[in-house]
Amino acid sequence: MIELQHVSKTYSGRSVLVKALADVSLSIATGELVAIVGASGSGKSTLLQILGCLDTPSAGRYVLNGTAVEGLDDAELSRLRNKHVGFVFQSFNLLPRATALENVELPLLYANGASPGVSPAPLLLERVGVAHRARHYPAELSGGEQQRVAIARALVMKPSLLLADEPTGNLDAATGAQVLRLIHDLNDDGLTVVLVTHDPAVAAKADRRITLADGRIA
Amino acid sequence: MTIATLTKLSWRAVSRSRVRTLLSGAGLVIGVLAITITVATGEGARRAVRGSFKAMFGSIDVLFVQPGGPAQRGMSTAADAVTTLTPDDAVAIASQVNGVREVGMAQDAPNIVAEANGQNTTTSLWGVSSNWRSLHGDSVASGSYFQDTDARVAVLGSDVARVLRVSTGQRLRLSGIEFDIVGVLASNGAGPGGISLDNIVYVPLGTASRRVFNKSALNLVDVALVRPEAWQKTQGDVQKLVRARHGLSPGQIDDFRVIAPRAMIARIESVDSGLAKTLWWVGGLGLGLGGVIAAVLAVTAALQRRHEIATCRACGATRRDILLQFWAESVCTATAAAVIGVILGVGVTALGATMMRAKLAVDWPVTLGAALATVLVGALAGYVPARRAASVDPAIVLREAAP
Repeated sequence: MIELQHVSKTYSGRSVLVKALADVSLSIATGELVAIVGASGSGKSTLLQILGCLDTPSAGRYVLNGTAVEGLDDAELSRLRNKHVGFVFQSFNLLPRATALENVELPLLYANGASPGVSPAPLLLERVGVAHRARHYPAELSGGEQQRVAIARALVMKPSLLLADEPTGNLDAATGAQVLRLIHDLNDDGLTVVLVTHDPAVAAKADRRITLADGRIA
Repeated sequence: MTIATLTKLSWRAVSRSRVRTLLSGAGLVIGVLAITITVATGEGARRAVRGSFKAMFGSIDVLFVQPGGPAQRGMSTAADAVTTLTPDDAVAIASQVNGVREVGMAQDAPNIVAEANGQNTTTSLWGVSSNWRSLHGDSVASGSYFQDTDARVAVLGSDVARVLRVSTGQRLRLSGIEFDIVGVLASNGAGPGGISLDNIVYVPLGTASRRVFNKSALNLVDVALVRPEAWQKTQGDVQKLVRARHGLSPGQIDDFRVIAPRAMIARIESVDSGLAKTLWWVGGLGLGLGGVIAAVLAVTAALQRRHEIATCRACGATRRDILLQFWAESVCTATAAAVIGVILGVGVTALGATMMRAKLAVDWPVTLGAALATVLVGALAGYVPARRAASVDPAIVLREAAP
């Protein structure tokens, strides 16, 4: 499903080049739950963004579901992201002036006809346990509810890959455990999950753990 | 992204960010408002001036010939000593000047005492030719107009009939002379300067000449034109003919005046145009300033909403989607501002018209043009900020937010 071959990513800073990833090669099979761990600045988020087609490698090759990402233009990358990838962020990233339901429906608006006829958003909100909060704005929801809405949004296009960047980082232990349970349930249903985490306990529950240090797989 | 989706997203953003929308649209609203009111005021003043001239003279497509040279100010009356305009001059104008349909002749005096039923009032007395009514388009409310030029009959303006409490078939005294009332005119309202056009009494010209004013010289010759658009040429021809008839040599100044209402209206309207120009500037400046404010706020919004943009991009939005989304928000705000501006403008104009008892004079083509200009200004002002929003790199923004 995911194939990275000798991928590097270099950013140009003000006066120096910053190497975020260096010669990273890895494969992730369909249905796997992989945890990416590492210290701050080790390149975890950069790797996640490349996997999610939000960023492209400076060098190397990335193939997602059989599509080689290099050379794709903005519209093609966006389409790939919209169709195949769901994102869950630590700070939820819900649109503040949209209701929970509208937030979940957001990817459908960018699907250009590729979205299903009947919106699956209400069912997804029900599945993640916040159907009763569908008409509420993010500011009216608790952290756990916001993250559930974010997960529902990530699933609305029925993606094959869920990328979660510290999904429990802003939640208390009990709520974090519930969210993690939800992610594991989704994985049990066959969804491929890549999880960035600092938490060894979270990483321990993954099928596989990839550790990054200074942009390299340790 | 479909138009429906774009409209939905834009309307959601605009309607749920009310303070930002209000600030962005305020300048544009002022612009449309100023233009709508400016044009309506100008159009209203134009209509009022033309209306009052029309009420006074029946038509603005006429020429007036009065005795007395260009140096003499104001209307001459029968009481004046100037006697340079004769009925023969009027007949000559009618028969010899091309482009003249017909002429009407009049003598008048402003302060004549009219008495009846033990009441009295001061009124204007006009001795006029029998075609005066049709030339001026006066309507007779009761009775009829006179055809006889020598009878002692009178047609009263509605104010005189009301004040003296008289009607057709009764009598009244004018300067001590008795007249039979044969008709009462329908109200003509007010003329230029707000003077009443109904405080007036008409009697036949011959009767007025011999019995009241005791002279044959005229105070006014009313010249109806065949082709109103050629009034300047006809004015020159009338002037030439009367100069020749009065034996005036080159260099000698006229002992009469040929007045064109269209020229008078143009002079009055030119006085108003200074104010109108200022208001046009206010309107234009409002739109321009509104555009700048909208652009600044849109740029600020694009910077503030970087996380929102990055989230949309993560959900599959292309750069083009973001550009269209932000641009549509600006157009949506400008459209709302245009609609509000037009509604307020028409509302203020209607209120003003009601208070001044005038007819609503909204110039719809210009008003709708101003509304369209507002939307265009909004679109122009929103384009660069929208491009800026579209250029936000989601990878950088999301990395900044990452732990």
